[in-house]
Amino acid sequence: MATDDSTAKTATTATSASWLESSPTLFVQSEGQSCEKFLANFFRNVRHFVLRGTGGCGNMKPEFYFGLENLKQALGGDFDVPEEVPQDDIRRAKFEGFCLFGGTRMIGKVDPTQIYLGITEVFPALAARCPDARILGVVAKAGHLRTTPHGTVVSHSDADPYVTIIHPVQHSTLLLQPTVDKLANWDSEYQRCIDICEAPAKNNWPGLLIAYNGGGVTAREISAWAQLGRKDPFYRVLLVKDSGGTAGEFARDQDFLDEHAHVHVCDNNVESMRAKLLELGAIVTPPASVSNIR
Amino acid sequence: MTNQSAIALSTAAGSASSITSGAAAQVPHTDARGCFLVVATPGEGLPPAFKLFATSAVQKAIIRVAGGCKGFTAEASAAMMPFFLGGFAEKDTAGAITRKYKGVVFSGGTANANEDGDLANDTVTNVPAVLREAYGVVAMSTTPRTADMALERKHGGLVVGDTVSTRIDYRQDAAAVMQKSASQLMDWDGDVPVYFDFMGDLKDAGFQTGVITLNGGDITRDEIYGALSRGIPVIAVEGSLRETDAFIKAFRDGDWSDTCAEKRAKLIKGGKDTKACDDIVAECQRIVAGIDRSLVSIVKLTDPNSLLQVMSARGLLV
Repeated sequence: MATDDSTAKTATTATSASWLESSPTLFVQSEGQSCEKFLANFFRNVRHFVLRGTGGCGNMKPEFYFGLENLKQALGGDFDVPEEVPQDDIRRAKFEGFCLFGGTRMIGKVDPTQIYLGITEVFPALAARCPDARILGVVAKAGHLRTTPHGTVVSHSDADPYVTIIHPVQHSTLLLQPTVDKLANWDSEYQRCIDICEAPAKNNWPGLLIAYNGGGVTAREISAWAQLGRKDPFYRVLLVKDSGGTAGEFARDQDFLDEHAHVHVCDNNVESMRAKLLELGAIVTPPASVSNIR
Repeated sequence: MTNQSAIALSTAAGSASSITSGAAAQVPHTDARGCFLVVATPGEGLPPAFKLFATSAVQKAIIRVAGGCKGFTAEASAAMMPFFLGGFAEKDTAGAITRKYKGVVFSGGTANANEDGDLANDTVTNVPAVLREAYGVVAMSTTPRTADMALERKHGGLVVGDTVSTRIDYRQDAAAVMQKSASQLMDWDGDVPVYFDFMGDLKDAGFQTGVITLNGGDITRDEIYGALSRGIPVIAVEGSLRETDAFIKAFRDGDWSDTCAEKRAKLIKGGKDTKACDDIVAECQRIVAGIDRSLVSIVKLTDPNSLLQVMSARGLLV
């Protein structure tokens, strides 16, 4: 291949590349192993708050897609705030802290440029909107890995029109596998997230699980957090009403809500979501977001 | 998390009561029960709940205090704590603090106790607790379990050495005891790779790092050169004897005659081959030849201001 001199020089002398440094780190954790390098993300100088986001993916019905955009806006702040609005105006409030999410994206089998919407599209969007957020993916290796030009495939099924890849937009990813030859089940994601939350909880950081839509796995995660929250104030839950799926069902279950005072409900609109996220400390205005204030 | 337990040592008596007042009250995170304690194995690493204590420091910096006090004169022993107290805070002429270190200080974590359970401030491993009391730093430690542990009968203090007077310094924020397994002991250097990994992860996350060394033998030498090979700055305390002074002599003057000298003397006394010492010196020389020399600072034990100047120059006072 012919190159001019300057290109050749660049190719031989460059020691760093911004595209490489801005790419997410990927750690693969087998059962029984520690994941210290992934957990070292929590050493970053980021406000001490852990947001765990969960909910529906491939099985979410299209009529509930609109709420994903609501959630993005609620967490990511309002882009239409006039410049003259003071920095501490609550309209400027946005998420700051560590965000744990499923770390995947669904793309079309026929057209890989087609993105199927799901809860895991919400949190990567915060990477651009919330510069003081650290977006961390925890991915279950539900299928054998395939490297493709469209991303690293972690799961696919003949029944689905999409495949699941590791989401390209996040700061760091933890890929879970029982062993190199065995596949993880989808529950392992939330179970590992609860393990990860143990350390911030012991250090008295605040936490919040936000659930939108979802199926059986989401229901088990909501139940787990609701149970843990009886003993530890870290484990608070915010359910989006009318988001469909099991999050929507829990949000309508008054007996469940009465039994768990740390489980909160918001309506499926930006205003209601932001009001609750402000109340629970997940979104903050810049002056209030001094690092490590609890 | 297996092989770990969190034990409250809040009932430790004596000097603990005086420690809870003053600057320590400003520490942003402290386990209300007492010094947070975990027992871990190198395979699993330091538990996240322990490591996150470091993030509660106001300043994103971590300094390991390494070495010992063997052979110290009474004068040198008396100078040690004033040296650290003077070097970690800048004061105006009226004695008011103008700038100070607000990060993490960690050490080997042991302390000598008297019969009343009071802990002395006579070893380098007490430096984190002393600085916590004085300036509100986050005080942590990693300690290899070199003996079976015991709970001292009168006050319940955790004994980690062969004698009842060797305790874990409960005045710290968090302590980690490293063991091979519940039934297997470690050598005294068992925690060194683990704490370097911890510092490395913090460094990657933007923490300033440093190791202050005094005195010390083979392990301290490993810590000095281990830090340098990882790009961690070393502040060597001149006049503290043994391997720290040997390092200064080698680094500054190119005279390697004192490096590994104690080990060499032991081998010669036992009529054994000293090639192992030659290899160690050669490795130390290789490391020094390859480092950025600005990583090393030399300060004097009898001059707290020399430490203060280095702390300031390295941006460690805020």
